[in-house]
Amino acid sequence: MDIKQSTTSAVLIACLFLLAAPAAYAADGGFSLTGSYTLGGQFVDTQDTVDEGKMREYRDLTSGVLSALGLTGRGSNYYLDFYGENVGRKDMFLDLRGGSYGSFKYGLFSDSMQHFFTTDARTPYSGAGTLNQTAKLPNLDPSTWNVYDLAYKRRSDGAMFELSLDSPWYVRADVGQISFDGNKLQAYAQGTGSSNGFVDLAVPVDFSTRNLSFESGYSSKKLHLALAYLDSKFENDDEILHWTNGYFGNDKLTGTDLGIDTSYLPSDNQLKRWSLNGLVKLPLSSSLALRYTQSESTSDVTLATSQLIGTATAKSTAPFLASPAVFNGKVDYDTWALTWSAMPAEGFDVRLYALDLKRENKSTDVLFSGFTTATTSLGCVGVVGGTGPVGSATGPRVCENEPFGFERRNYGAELAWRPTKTNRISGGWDQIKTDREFHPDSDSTKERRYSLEWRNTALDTLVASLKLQLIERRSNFLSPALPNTVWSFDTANMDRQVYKAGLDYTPTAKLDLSAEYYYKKSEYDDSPSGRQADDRGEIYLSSVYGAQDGFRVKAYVDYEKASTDARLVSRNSTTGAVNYTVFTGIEDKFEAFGLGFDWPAQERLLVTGAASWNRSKGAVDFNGLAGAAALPTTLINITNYGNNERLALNLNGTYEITGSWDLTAGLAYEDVAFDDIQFDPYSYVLPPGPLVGPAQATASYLSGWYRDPEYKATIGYLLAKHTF
Amino acid sequence: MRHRLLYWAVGIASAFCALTLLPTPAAGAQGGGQPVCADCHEEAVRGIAPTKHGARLDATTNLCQSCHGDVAAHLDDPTVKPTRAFDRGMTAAEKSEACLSCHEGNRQLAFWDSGKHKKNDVACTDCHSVHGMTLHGKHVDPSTAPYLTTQRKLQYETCGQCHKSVRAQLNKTSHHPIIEGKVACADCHNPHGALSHAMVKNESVNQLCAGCHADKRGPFVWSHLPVEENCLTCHNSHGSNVPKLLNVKVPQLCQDCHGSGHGQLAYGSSFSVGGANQDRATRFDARACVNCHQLIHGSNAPASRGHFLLR
Repeated sequence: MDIKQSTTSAVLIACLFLLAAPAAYAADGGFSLTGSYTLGGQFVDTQDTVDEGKMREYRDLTSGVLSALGLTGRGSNYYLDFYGENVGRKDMFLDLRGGSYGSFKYGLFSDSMQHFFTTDARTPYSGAGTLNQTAKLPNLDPSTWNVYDLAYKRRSDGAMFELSLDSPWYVRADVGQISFDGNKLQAYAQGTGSSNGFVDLAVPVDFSTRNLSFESGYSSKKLHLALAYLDSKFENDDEILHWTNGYFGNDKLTGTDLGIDTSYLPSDNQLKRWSLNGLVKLPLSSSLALRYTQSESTSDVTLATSQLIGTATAKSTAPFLASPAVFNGKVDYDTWALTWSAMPAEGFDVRLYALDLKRENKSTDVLFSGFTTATTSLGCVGVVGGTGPVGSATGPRVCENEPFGFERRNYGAELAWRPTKTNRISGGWDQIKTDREFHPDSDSTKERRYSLEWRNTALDTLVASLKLQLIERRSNFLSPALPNTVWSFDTANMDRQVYKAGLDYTPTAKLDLSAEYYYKKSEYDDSPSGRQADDRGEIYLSSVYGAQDGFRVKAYVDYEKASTDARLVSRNSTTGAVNYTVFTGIEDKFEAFGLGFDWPAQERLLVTGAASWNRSKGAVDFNGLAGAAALPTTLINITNYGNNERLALNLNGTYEITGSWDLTAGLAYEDVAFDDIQFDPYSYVLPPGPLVGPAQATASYLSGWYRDPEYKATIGYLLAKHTF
Repeated sequence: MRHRLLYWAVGIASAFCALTLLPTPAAGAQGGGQPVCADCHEEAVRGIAPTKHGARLDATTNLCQSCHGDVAAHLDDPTVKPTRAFDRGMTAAEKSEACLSCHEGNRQLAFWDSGKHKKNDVACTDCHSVHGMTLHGKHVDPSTAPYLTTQRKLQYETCGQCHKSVRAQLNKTSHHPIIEGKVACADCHNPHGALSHAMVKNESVNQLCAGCHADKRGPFVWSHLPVEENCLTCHNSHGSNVPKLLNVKVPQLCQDCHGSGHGQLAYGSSFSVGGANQDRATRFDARACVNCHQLIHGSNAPASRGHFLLR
């Protein structure tokens, strides 16, 4: 039974039970249905915003009708909950759940969303968003380009049915589909080197993931055992993209004789997974939990054996060999996890755990060969005509993949002691060991964590906690460290300290105060080049004041500051001397303030308001140290590295006209500012200066994404709600 | 597409058939009558009535006692608290025990003992309130969220009351659509307990992410090793100041692993960012390294075009 037939069967089975529900509900004496429906609209004024992409990133903020319907059905045997909103809009949401207590339950849902990147994006290409995009290049005047919106729709649909018939045994089926439709931004290098320009292209997004899972098990207070199977299939209708490459053969500068290049979009893939979950209650107030999973991911690709290549004056399509002709991708995951939790004595909690994850990459070893002097850039290692071992610097010119696999073993222990009812002291030890295949830097990493925590609730009005964590990571590196060696940041030796303090104070029934402090510092002392250190400090303050049924206000203040220090070493590969060293210090700050209130201003009038403001500021400091060579240039600091600021206000009042009708009117305002040196000043063509002659072949064409994500918007809304 | 519409049509038609054949709505509690507790605790009884727990509500005190314990002494003398008053005098474990006495055998609570919430003294009543209110039965504090097109109360408002760092990240410029109501905390985490780190639902972060982002699942002919090992090496799953939820801006993120070739020269042909002519460089402007190395999650392109993640 393939996944489509399974989907059909599962949905139809669920519907059969739904059809049987009316008789059951009718027989359920006292079943009551309550609910509400809402109808209204929103009006959005964007006040000359250039690019609405950020504003509409995840929200459908087009002016129009808003709607909602909620139903709650309750009986002594059956229940039903339905909620739907914004029907017909890009963010439509539908959710239906119901069932019979302890006997069966079902669910259906559909959730839509748009992911907007940019409005009025530009491209010199025809066919934006399709698999064939052509252009007459060079085209350095964006005013003549085609305009389009860069966005895609995402929709998630699904159904669930679970049957237990008032017993600890159950069976369950889940079916779902996540589909994407639209386009998104991808960029591709044009020539044979990094100075030959790149192009932004709107690539089509037309794929879906279908998931089907079955689970059956036994679940009681003493024992839980469940076996589940998941089949997940990703299907992409658009796998090969053809586009005009403006670099190759651009000698005539007339837009003719340009090559058509090929890019490869995600291929179909499939995941099949078995899992076994278990839990058993044991003496000493303990429990033993187990999880085992075995999964297989596959994806098959027919390998291309030619590629557009050449120079700015002449293009060609270079053939080469691929052995084998088809890539059969196969990755197996085997995981198991075991946890023993216990209270062996009064005031003591113990937890011992072990997790193992093994990723075996059984994908095809592919060898691309047959490169000539003209196509040598398509190879990765060796020389044309080389006679040394294949894969070595003296061997033939080839390109060979290396299927990456690893195994990660995690063990740990935690012990908590409550010397009194109001004090809790806990400590933990954790180790993660990772062994890797085909990693260029490190084949083995061991990370140890030690933690200590104290929590106090001695005062009725105060809860305090302190936590300290030390992390030590050490790896086995496969080659000796040279002054310019950068160990992969995720494997580099590291020492980290983490401090956390928390305070919750409730002096009165109406007032909650909370403060939290977090500080993390990491050092990578053994890394000759690359990241050297990073630290992060966070402070969060929040409070809530007011009675549950009266005026109530909530406020928070957040502050975060993170810094990362790195050094990049330039080394002469012939003499081994250090040419120069550049030190970079990145700083990232985040500040936020939020306020929200509910105010029953009158017996029939509830006023609700919210205000939030946040600001991010990024900066990079450069310093340099000359060595065997002088610094290449003057280093100039960056002060606008991801700066953005957002103010959002929302005020509304809900007036109860009658016992079953109310009216909500509201006004919202948003103001977002953005400043980032990587996009400012924005240029659709890089470099921005005048390009003449053959240099035009190296022009880069950008789409306008992030050219001006700032916006101001005023939103008015009016909603009428009837409750029944 | 046609079949998908058919499935939905059948499903929704069935649901509405069920609704149209329902008996006339009846107001008030299902079981008939209210317990004596309502004489003093009217709001609590009114709150529980429309919930699933309220299906058991009747004129006896059985429902109330199933959670609050023996109330006989309390009925005689209101100053004497019932066995379980759910006040600060109760520990988290004691509060949760009331719920687990019925729900411990539930499938989704199987790993409660192994989870972080139990370990950190989070009680069921810290997130849930059986006496109704709004969000998942919990009276929710006033919202500070910006204007949303959804009228639903969202799950993150409950989780964010304790997880303040995560709440802050959700408000950053690049984030999963959590505050917009399109992704919920429980889509990735199991708050009732799980055996994985951070109580994620799957056996690893990568398996979890690929559930929605299956286009990144592969296997690919050419893979990018940190991608295969852990998505969180480069991304922050909740929110970031950097586009695409990256932890650090590109090129610095890439320079944390790649220092050879032109990896060092990302700032311009000669490190002269901000110079007289800005020296705009394809390795620094816009998305920097990813301007060319676009297939950063893996590639199926042939030869060096795929090896260097260019196609």
